Amino acid sequence: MSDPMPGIVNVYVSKEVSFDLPKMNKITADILGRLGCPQCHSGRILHFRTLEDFVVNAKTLEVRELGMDR
Amino acid sequence: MRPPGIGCVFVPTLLPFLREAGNALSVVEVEPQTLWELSRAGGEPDYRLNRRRFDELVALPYYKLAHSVGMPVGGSRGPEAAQVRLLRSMLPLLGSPWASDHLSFNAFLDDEGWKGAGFFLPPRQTADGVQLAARNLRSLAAELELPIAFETGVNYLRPRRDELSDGAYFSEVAAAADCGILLDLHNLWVNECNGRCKVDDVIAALPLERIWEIHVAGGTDYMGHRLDAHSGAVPDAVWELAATWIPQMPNLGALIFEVLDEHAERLGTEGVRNQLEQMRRLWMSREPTKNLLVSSPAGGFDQVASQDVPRAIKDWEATLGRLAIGWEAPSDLAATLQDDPGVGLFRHLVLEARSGLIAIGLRHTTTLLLLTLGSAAVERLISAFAAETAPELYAVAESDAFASFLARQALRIPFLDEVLGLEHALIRAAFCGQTTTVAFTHDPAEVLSCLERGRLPDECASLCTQVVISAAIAAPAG
Repeated sequence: MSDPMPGIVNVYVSKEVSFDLPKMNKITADILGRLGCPQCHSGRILHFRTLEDFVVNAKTLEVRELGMDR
Repeated sequence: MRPPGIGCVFVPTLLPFLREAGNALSVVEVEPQTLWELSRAGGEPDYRLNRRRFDELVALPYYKLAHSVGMPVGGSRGPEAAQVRLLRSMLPLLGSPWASDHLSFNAFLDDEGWKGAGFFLPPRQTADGVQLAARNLRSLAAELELPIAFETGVNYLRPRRDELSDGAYFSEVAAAADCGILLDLHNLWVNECNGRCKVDDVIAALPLERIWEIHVAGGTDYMGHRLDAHSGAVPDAVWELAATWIPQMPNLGALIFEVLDEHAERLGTEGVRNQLEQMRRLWMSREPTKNLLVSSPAGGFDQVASQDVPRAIKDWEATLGRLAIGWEAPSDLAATLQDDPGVGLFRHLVLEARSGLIAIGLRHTTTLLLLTLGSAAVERLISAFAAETAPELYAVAESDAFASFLARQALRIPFLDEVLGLEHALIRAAFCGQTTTVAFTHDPAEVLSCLERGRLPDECASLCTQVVISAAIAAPAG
């Protein structure tokens, strides 16, 4: 079998798909575009905090306790 | 050689500014690893260049300086062959007159092999540590066929009686390696603020003719420490140090402003331009360097083999590395390090950086977890993951490991199987060349769109479908 082509990912959906494919493509491309290496730093990396603030500000839902099935 | 002059680190946010900045700067510093993608499709780690981003960078009308952020030279792990190969292939297009990396370590060896430390950690500042760093620097220079400089690192630990002073250590490494020095003034100032040596004493101990490059940056206060966070404008105290010392450096080739991409937007184009104007005034204050002298180390080199590394250095790296990633480290050295507030700071910064990589690579999954479980529970989940898995440098690898961990927890959270399944499948395709089929019981575009807006996808339409995600297969040869 041939090697995968560098950096290219295919997303296949069924023919009778009824969801918004361009939107799906954009979101998956954004996910793939964020997978690199962080920059040189010796301080705080705030990506998680930024996402946390975004979600906290946007949400209207009651927060539930963690329940893990181990 | 003409000195490259003043400039800034290349980050994507600054690309529009860099395209039209004209003579506001004359050099951009390139962190090669930020232009790479990590793949383990062939089993061993391999790196691929993001060609589009690299071409954008190469087209900028400035000198380029290669500043590596993935092969620190202060520890017992020598330069990784796959990284060296790719960096070497980039150098002809960059035309970088020298390359640099950090006088730190970012991995340690245990019974199972190398583990990532998740951070640039301070090396062992002893005579043996000097020799180890010198061998790494000579080896890297030989492999890249380029003059090499080390960056003077930030060190959040208190000074130790059993180590060389910072100035003596830097000076001895530079002499033993016959290399250049990338003097990071903000690092040194942060070290002084946190109780280490005074910057003036450190620089006074250095061979000033070996200082080829200077970094300046901004930072912040955090957990009782000053941080080298690359988070904004350069503090006045650092400008004052630069004004004092730059005129005394006879062979200075470049002055670089560092800012993280995530902070560049907040600082803004005007903010960056202001830093560069200040730097230009400093640059003009020095005696012009008509002929910059940078050279590769004289003499030969011998690659560092693991068995040649003194036990005390291996112990230092394993102990500090384990403590920094929040793991137990049963040794006498650990007992002395545990008392150092800097160790707690490292542990916090490493965990925060890991959380950040997970938030990048698994944004929708993390959003879903935050909305469903809340911040405290998600942080506990990430801590539990970190307790059993060592850090990775790339978001793709850290996210892959966390996604596997999360799947094993069998959490009963609506939409998690679909969202995690999709994001993990994308990561597995990009990272390992793996094909995955993900079953959806809701409209996947709608589920992801809701999460992009920070909302739970409670009202998404039911829809039974499958999404197949795979790495593209190369056409058969011939």
